Amino acid sequence: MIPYISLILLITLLGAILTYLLGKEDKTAKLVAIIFSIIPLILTIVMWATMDFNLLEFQFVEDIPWISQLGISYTLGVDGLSFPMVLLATILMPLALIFSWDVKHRVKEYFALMLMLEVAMIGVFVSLDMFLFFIFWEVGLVPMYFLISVWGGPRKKYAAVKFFLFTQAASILVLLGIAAIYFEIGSFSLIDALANAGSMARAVQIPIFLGFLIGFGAKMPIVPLHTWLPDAHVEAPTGGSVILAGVLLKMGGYGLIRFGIQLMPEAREYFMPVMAVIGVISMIYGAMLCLAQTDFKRLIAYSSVSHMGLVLLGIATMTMSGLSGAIYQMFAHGLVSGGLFMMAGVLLHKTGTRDIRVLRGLAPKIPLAVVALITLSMASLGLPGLVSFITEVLIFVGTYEAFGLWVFVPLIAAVLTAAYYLWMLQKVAFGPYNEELGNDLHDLYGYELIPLAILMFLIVLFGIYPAAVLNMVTAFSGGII
Amino acid sequence: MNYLILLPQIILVAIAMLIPAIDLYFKDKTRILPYLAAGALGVSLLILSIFTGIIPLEIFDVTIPTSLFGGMLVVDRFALFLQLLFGMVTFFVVMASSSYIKQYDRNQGEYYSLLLIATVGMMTVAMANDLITLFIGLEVASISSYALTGFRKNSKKSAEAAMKYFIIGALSSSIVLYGISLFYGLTGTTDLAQFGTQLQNIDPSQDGLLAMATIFLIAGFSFKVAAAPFHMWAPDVYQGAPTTITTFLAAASKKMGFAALFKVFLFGLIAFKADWAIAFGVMAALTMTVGNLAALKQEDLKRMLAYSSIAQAGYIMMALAIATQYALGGALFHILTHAFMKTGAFIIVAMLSVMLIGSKVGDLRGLRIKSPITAFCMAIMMLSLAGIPPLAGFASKFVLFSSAIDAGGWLIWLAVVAVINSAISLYYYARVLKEMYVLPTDHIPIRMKEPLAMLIPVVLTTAAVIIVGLYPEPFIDAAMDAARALIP
Amino acid sequence: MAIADLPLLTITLLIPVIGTLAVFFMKNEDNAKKLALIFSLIPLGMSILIWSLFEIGGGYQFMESHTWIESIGISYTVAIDGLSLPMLFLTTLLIPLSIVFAWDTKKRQKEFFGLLLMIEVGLIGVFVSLDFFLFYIFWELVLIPMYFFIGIWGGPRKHYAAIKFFIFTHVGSVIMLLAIFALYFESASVLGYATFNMMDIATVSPTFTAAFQGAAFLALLFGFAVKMPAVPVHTWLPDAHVEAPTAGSVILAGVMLKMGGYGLFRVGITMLPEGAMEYYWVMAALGVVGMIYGALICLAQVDLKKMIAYSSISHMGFVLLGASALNLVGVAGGIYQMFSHGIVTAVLFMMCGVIHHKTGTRDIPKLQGLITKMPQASFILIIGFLASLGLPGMNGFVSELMVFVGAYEAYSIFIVVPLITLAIGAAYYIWTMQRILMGDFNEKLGNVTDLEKYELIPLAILVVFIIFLGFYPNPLLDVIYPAAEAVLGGVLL
Repeated sequence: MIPYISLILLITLLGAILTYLLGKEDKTAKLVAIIFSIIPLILTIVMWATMDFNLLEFQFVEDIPWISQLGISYTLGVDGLSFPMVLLATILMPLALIFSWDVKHRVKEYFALMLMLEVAMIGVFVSLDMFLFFIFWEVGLVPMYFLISVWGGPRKKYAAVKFFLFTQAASILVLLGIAAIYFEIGSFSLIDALANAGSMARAVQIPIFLGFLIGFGAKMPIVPLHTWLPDAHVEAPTGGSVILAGVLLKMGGYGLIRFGIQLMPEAREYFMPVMAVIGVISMIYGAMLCLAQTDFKRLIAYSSVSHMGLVLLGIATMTMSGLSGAIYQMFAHGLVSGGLFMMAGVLLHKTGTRDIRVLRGLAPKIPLAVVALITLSMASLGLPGLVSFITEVLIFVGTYEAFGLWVFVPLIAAVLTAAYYLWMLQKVAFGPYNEELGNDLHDLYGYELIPLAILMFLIVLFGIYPAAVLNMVTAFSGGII
Repeated sequence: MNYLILLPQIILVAIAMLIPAIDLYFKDKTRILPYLAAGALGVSLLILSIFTGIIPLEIFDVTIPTSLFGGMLVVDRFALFLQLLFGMVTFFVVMASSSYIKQYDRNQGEYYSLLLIATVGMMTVAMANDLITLFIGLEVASISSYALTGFRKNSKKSAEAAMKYFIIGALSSSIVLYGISLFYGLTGTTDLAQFGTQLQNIDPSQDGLLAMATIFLIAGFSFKVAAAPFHMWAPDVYQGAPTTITTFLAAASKKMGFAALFKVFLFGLIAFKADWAIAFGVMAALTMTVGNLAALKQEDLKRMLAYSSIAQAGYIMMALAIATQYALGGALFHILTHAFMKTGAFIIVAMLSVMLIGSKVGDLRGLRIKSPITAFCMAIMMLSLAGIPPLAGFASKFVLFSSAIDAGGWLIWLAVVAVINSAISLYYYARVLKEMYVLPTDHIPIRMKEPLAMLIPVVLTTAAVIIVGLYPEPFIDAAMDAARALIP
Repeated sequence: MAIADLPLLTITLLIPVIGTLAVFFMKNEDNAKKLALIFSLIPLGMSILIWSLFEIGGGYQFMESHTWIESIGISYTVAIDGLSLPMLFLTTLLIPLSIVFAWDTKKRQKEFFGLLLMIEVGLIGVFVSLDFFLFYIFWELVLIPMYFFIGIWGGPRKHYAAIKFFIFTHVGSVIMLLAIFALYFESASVLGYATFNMMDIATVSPTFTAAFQGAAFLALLFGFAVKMPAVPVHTWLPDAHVEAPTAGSVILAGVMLKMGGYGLFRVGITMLPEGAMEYYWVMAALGVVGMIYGALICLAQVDLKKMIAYSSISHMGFVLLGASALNLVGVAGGIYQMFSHGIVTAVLFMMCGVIHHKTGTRDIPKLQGLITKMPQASFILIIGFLASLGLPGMNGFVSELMVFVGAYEAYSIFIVVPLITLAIGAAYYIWTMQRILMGDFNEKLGNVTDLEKYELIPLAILVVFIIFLGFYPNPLLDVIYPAAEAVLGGVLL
C-alpha cells in the first residue's frame, strides 16, 4: 500500500526546501512552489477516488513506533472528518500560490513558508497521535507568524505578535487537555483514545472539554476570543489571508470536533447549550460588526467570525444534519472566504485602497473582478445554488431539531449577512464611478483570474452537487450521533 | 619516671639560654642566631616526631603516655600533637624572622631566645595536667610574648600593642589565677585528673561559688584566645606587633589558650558539661560572627587577618560546646590547619613589607605579576581559610562542623551559624583574590625578588595546606588520637 | 583488556586537569586556545565512548572505588548512570564549543582557557562522584574558576557580580553540606560503619524517620535551589550572567545550573523519598513561582542577555515542577529538561554574545532589523527562541510535555497555572524577535557582519542537536527512564 499521506507531507516539505534552495530566480521559486503544491492535490484526489466513505474507521493508516517510552507513535490516517479538510487545504494552497504571483519581496522565502504552512495544516488534520498533532498544530504558527510579520501591512508587527500570542495561549489549553487525556488513557494515540472515549469520568471530561472549547475556539475564532483575527487578516498578505481564513480557522473546528465532541460524549451534552449560545452570539455579533466596517478586508474578516459561529452552532446541535452541515460549512467557508480574501487583494491592488466609502461603481471599469466579487458575496450570504446555501440549510434544520423555534435567533444573523453584503455590493460595484480612483484600472490578470475562476467553479459545483462532499461527512456524523 | 620525654624542651631551653650569650660575646655573628634557634627547633621537632612515631625509629625508650612529677605533667598524644604544632610554627617564624628582623638589628639575641622560651611555655601548657603547671606554662609563654610584641621599641604602634597586650594579658592571667584559687578552695586539689571526683562531693550550697569559679576560668581563657566579647585587644596587638610575632601569636600562642581550655574543660570539668557547654556555644557563635563581620570592612591586611583569626577561634570554640571526642579531634585538626594557613598568610604579609609592597589589601594589586608564586600561595591560603575544597581548611571544617551535626539538638543551629559565617567570610577572602588576580593595574608591574628565607616557609605551608586537603587521613588520625587522650 | 575495563571516568576527569596545568604553564600565549581545544575534545570523545559502552538500564557503571580517607569513611568512588550520563555528555560537549566560540579572546588567554578547563574538571567531577566528600569538593571547585571568569573577563559590574555569585552559591553549598553530615551520621548508626559513599547511604536512608528526612530534604533543597536557581534565591543569576563573558554564561547556564537539579534527583529524591513526598509541595511552589516570575520578569527586560538569564530561571522551574510530581514521567521530564535547556540556553547565550560583539549593544530597543544584515545569525536566533519557548519539534517541547504530563498526574487541572508560562514565554520571545530581527535596520549600529566561522560551527552543532532531539529523543529517553525509575525507587514503594 502506498503511504499516500506521508507522501503528501514529504513532497510538500521537499517542495518547501527546494523552493528555498532553487529559488535564486523569483520565477523559478514560484514555479517550483506551485508545482509542488499541485502534486499533493493530485494525490488527494487519488485518495478520494479510492477511499470508502461508508467506513467509520480511519483509512490510509500509517503507524510507525516513534518515542516508545512515552507511547508516542507516528500515526497518520484520514476519515470523513479530516478528508474534506485535507482536500480543502490542498485545493486552496495552489490557488493561493498562483494568486501570489505578484509578490516581489523575498519571493523564495514567501513561497517556501507557504508550503511549510501547508505541511503543518495537513499534518494537523491527518495526525492520529496527539503528540504529532500538537507538533503540527504549533509549527503552523511559525510560518504564519513570519508571513504576517515580513510581508504584512503597516501594522504587521503588532498583528503578528498578537496572532502568535493569542493562538499560543490557546494552545496551552489544548496541551493541558492532551496531557490530561494521556494521563487518563495512557497513550498519545488518538485511535486508542477514541476507542476508550467513554471511559473518562464526567468530572474529568468537563474541565478538559472547557479547555478544548476555549483553546480550539480561539483558533476558530469564537467571540470573545476573536480579536486577533481582524488584525491578523488586515495586516497579512493576501496569500496568507486566504490560507488563514480558508484553512487555519478550520483547524479550530476540526480540533473541537475531534477532541471535544468525539472524545468526550458526556461533556459535549453538558456544553451543548453553551456552544449554541456562543455560536449564535458569534454569528450575530460578527454580522453586526460587519455592518460597521469601512475596510473591505476587515469586513470579510468579521464575516468569517460570523460564519465560524455557524459552524459552532452546527456542532452544538449534535444532530446528524447539524454536524454534517458544520463540517460542510467549514469546507464551504474555506472556498468562499478564500475567494473573498483574494478579492480584497484584487481591490487593493487595482485601486490602492480597500475603503468601501471610496470604492464606488467599479462594475464598468473592472467587470470580471466585479463578477467574481458578486458571485463570492452571494455564495457567502448563502444564495441557493451556491455552496453555502446547503450548509446553512443543514445547520438550521439541525438547530430546529435540537432547539426548536429558537432557530429564529440565528436566522437574524442570516438576514444581517445579506444586509451587509448587499450594502457593500451596492457601494462597491454599482453606482457612479469614483473618479478619484483614476482611469486606468486594469481588470483581472491571468494569475488572479485563474484561481478565482476555479474557486467560483467549485462553489457552483459543490452548490449544485453537494453530495460530493456530504457523502464523506454523513457516515462520520452518523457515527458520532 | 622517664625524663627523656622532656628532651625537646630541655634542648630548647638550653639553646634559649645560649643565644643571648652568643649575642653578647660575638656581636658581629648575629647572623648565626636564627640558624641556632632553627637548629634547636629542628632537633626538637625530630625528637618529637620520633616520640610520636612519625619517624619510625626506636632509639628512645619512652612510653606514651608518661606521667611526670607526680602527675603535674603528662606527655600524651594530646601534648605531643600540640608540641609538634607549636614547634613547627615557631620554626617557620624563626625562618621568616631571619629576613624580617634584620631591619631592627638590636637585641636579636633576646628575640630568638624569647621565642624559644615562649615555645617551651606553650609546650608546658600542652603537657600540664595540673592547674598550677598550666598557669606557669601560660605565664612563661605570655610574658615572653609581651616582650616580643614590643620588640620594635622605636615604633609607637609596637609599643602600644605591647602595652595593651601586657595589661590585658596580666588582667586575664589574674582572673584565671583567681578562678584556679576558687577551685582549689572548693576541691582541695589542683590536679585536673581528680577534679571530677572532688567536685562531685562538694556541698550544694557552694554551687554559686563553683559557678563563679567556672565563669572566671572561662573569662580568663577567653581573653587569651580572643573570643568575643573578650576579643577587643587582638586586632590592635596583631596589627602593632612585628608581623613575624603576629604570626606567632595567631598561629601558636592563641592555640595555647585553646590547649588550656581543652585541658580544663574537656578533661577536668567534662562531668559538668551541661553547665558550661551552652556558654561556649553562645560565645562560639558570637565570636565567629563578630570576627567575620568586622573583617568584612578591614583595609589593612594584618587587621583583616586578625579578625579572621577571631572568627576561626569561634569555629574552634564549637568543640567546647559540643564536647565530644570527635569534636575535639575536629578542633585539633582545625588548629593544625589553621596554624598552617595563618603562618603562611602572616609570613606573606611580612614578606610584602620586606619587599616594600605594603600591607593594605589594595597593595596586593598586581601581585600576580610582581610575585606570582606569592600571589598563588596567598590565594591558596585565602581559599583554604574560607573553607573551599579541596584545601586543608575545608577538610578541618568538614570534620569540625560535622561533629556538631553528629551531636544533634541545638548544636545543629550552631553548625548552621558556623557555615553561614563561613560563607560570609568568603567575601573578604575573595577580596584578596580580586585584588591580586582580577583587578587591572594602573601601570605594568615588574617582577620582584622574594626573600628566600621567607619564601620557603610560605611555600612549605602552602604545600602543607594542599596536601592536608587532598590527603587528610594521617592528620585526622593524629588529631583523633590526641583527642582520645583527653576524652576517652 | 577490554576498553570498558579501563578507568574511563578517571581518565575523563584527569585529562582536563592535565589540560588546565598545561595551558597555565605554556609559554606561547597564542597557542593556549588550541591546546585547550584539544584537551577539551578528548573528554568529549571519552564521553561518547562511555555512552556507546553504556548499558541501558544497567544502573551504576564504570565504577571505580579506592579508599581515600579511611578513618571517616571517605573513598574515591566514581561511576555513571542514566542520570549522570546526559549531564556528562552535556558538559563535555559545551566546553569545547565554548572554547571554539571564544576563539578571538585577546585578554589573558592562558588564564581564560585554563580556567575553562578547570571548570570542566569540577563539572565532570560533580556528575561522576558517588562519594559525598568528593562530590562536594567538585561542587565547590566549580565556583573558583567561575568567580575569576566573571571577575576578569566580565562586563562593567563584574566585580560585584562575581562576588555575589561566589557567596550566594557558597551559602547554598554549605547548607547542603550540613544535610550531608546529617545523612552521614544517621546512616552510620544504621549501617554500623561510617561512610560518605552515596550508594551505601542510599540503601538505608529511605528508612530514616520522616521527620529526619523532611528536615534533611529541606536543607538539601535549599542548597540545590540556590544553584538552580529558584525564586527567591535566584538574584545572583541575572547579575552573574549579565556580567559574565559569553563562554562563562554558556557554561553557567548550560551546565552549572544543572548541578542543582542533578543534586535534587541524585541526593534529594533518591535518598530521602519520604522527605520528598512530604515536601513535594515546596518543590512545586518553588518551581511554579520560578516559572511564572522568571517569565514575567523577562517581559520587562531591555537587555537581551538579562532576558535570557531570567528565562533560565523560568525554565529551571520546569525541572522543579517535574521533580515535585514524583512520578516517572515527571522526573524523567525534569531530567530531560535539564539536558535540553542546557543545549538551548547555550545557543541563546552564544547568540547574545554574537549580537553584542557585532553591534556593540545588547539593548533590545536599539537592535532592529538584524535579519537583513545577518541572516544566518537571525535564523539561528529564531531557532533558539522557538526552541526555548517550547515549540513542538524542538527538544524543549519534549521535556516540557513530559513535565506537564507528570504534573497533571499529580496536580490534575491545576497545571493550568504553570502552563501560563508557555504563553508568557511566547510573548517575550516573539516580541523580542519582532523587535530585534524585523523591521528596518537601525543604521546607528554601523557596519554589521554575519557570523564568523568560529561562531557558526558551535552554533550549528547545537542547532542540529535541538532539532534532532526534538524529533527523536529516544536515545536520551532510553538512558533517562531507567535512571528516573531508580530515582523514584523509594517513592514508588
